Amino acid sequence: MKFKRRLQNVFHREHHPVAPASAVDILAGGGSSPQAREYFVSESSQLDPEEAVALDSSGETSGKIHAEGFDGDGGSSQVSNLVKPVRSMRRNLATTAAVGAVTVSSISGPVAVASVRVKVSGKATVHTVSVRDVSQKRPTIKESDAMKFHDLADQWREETCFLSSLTRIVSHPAYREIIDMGEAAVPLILEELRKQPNHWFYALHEITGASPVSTNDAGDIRKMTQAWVEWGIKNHYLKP
Amino acid sequence: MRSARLEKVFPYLQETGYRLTSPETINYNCIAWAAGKTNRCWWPDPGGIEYWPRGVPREVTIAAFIQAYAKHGFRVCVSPELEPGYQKIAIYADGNEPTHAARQLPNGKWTSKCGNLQDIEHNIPEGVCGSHYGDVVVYMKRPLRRVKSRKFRHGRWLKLHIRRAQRRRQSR
Repeated sequence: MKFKRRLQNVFHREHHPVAPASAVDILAGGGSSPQAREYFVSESSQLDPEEAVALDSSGETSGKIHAEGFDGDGGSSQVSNLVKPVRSMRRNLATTAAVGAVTVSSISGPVAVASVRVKVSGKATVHTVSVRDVSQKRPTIKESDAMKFHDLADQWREETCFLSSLTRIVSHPAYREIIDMGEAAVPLILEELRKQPNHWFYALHEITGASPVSTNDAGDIRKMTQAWVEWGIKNHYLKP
Repeated sequence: MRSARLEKVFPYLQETGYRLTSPETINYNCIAWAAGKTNRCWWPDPGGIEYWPRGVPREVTIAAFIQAYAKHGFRVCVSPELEPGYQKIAIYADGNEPTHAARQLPNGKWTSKCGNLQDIEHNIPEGVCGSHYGDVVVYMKRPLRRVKSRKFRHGRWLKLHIRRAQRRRQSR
């Protein structure tokens, strides 16, 4: 039965190149073995769910990998161990069979690019994925950043509240300055959005590159806010 | 009711007369309000963040705004005068950049949604003209809907038809 495939414990750490030291430090906070770390796979190469089988080396299943698969609707499901990825394929999940170790090749902020070993059509292959270290669940917010953000947000709100032109709203200098703060502004924006919905969607999209709002919900402030808040929680920018 | 904040931003409002008609809300904007919609914000941003009618170019031009309202039955007209049986809107622009839209009420006054602030009823469309919204560049109008819509009439006809069929069956 295709849905009852068992995970094959054939993958081993020795099969992978050693991760760069800096990558290990950032992803795991250093110290523990790679298999004991937690990773958050936020994106993956598209695999055929019928063919992909996660591989794991024997005795290394203690490594928790959170694989986020992407289905046709752009939805996702989180899986937190090595068995669930295959189970979730029942729902035609067009990705990921993540395994007990990832190899980090480059890092950008809390997100890193890593290689994951999977078995496709009986053949072990390495796929590139983006991983997020769950030890960095929430980027630390500096007090200076928070103060700067709130000052700019107040100014922007006050000077654009009577405008309907999104073009003018998002080209306001204070708004641009918030975008220039980069990822440091994301948790602050999301918190602000949750408290008081406003036109923060453009800034969030520009900083993160994410688009969690479905096309049908464009312009629906309540649904857009909900989608971004859920995205923020899922990506550890916001507390649930 | 009046708003000092609105009077500061739109100085002509005080001179020409207005009143607040709703609480502040961000659920819709003036462009949607002019088309009679209150469930989402309309704007032709290229990223597709806000709603914009399908098939209309997502560009901040007067032509694109005219096309968007044309999708909802409006046609360009000349005057802002009240015409029985028609609903009119005014599109405002600062230079060539659309900034705002207002809708005429059955009493001949105009209604505007001012950004994230309140809806207002203003006596003349020029009430909100100025440095922020610019001037009215286009008026458009559409026929007001009849109370009995075609759909309703069709539904009523269907009920009658079913009743007749039932009677025929009973008589047999």
